[in-house]
Amino acid sequence: MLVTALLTQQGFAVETAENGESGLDAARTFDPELIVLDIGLPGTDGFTACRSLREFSDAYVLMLTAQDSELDKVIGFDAGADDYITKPFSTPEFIARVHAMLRRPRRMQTEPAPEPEPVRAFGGLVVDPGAREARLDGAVVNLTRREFDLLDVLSGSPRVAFTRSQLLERVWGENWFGDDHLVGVHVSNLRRKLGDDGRNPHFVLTVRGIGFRMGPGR
Amino acid sequence: MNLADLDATLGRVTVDELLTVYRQDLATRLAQLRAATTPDEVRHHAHGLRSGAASFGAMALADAARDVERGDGSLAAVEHAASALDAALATRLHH
Repeated sequence: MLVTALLTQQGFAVETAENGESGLDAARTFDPELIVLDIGLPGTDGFTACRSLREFSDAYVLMLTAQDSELDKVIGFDAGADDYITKPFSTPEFIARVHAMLRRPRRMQTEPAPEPEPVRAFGGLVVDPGAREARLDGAVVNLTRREFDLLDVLSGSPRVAFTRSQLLERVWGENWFGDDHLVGVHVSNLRRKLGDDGRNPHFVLTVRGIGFRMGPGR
Repeated sequence: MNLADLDATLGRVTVDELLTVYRQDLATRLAQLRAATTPDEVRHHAHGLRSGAASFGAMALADAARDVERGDGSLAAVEHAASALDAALATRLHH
């Protein structure tokens, strides 16, 4: 209700759905650019709805929740959300986040197809930027768009230690309205999917006082 | 949620319309919570109350509903917070 009013006031055409199932139907029908998803939906919860959405939609997803736990953020990003805002949110911040998201063109739609880059190997991990695919010991790793983008940036310059701010800018874009903490959450998810132990990682290394860089793999 | 921010963005008339709808929703959800008979129903309706209250920055009710949702709160605390919120909404909407 409130979100609808705010988005309408900002000039967006808004469709609303009252539960996860009808939300997914609406997303199929209207192919929105942005979805504000309340994780406390009746029926299918927001996390499950987001995972289902990602099977057919590349829309930006802003998760909205009354909860503010680290676990929710990890699950939300893992489900494919792009950003997260906790109620009560400030009106200017909500609007700024929405506009920041939409300023970032969706790469697959707006850029011409680049020449395929060579695959990169780090032990058992093979990153194929052209196919946007990562394989670990031959098996495809199911990464979200952000996770793959992060891995792409790190693996593309394996000798470079990136600060969190640099990664935020390269993966989320220079207009992104968020904090560096977002990077840490996605790195944690990426490591988990790569079977990497955060205390002794082989693929995504922590560079103390700086940020992260690619490791040699295993 | 800062109502002044909201007023500045949407205009007082629109915000009052939203608050009117929310006030009705609050009464409905409160009745549903009172009528809940299973732990799942209690959690579900408490979450709905919490979510709606948090949207408008009514944190006393949001916190009381959160406690019920977690299983360690009381309906009396929710009723008390909801009553105070309803009174505040009535005051705002009649000015």
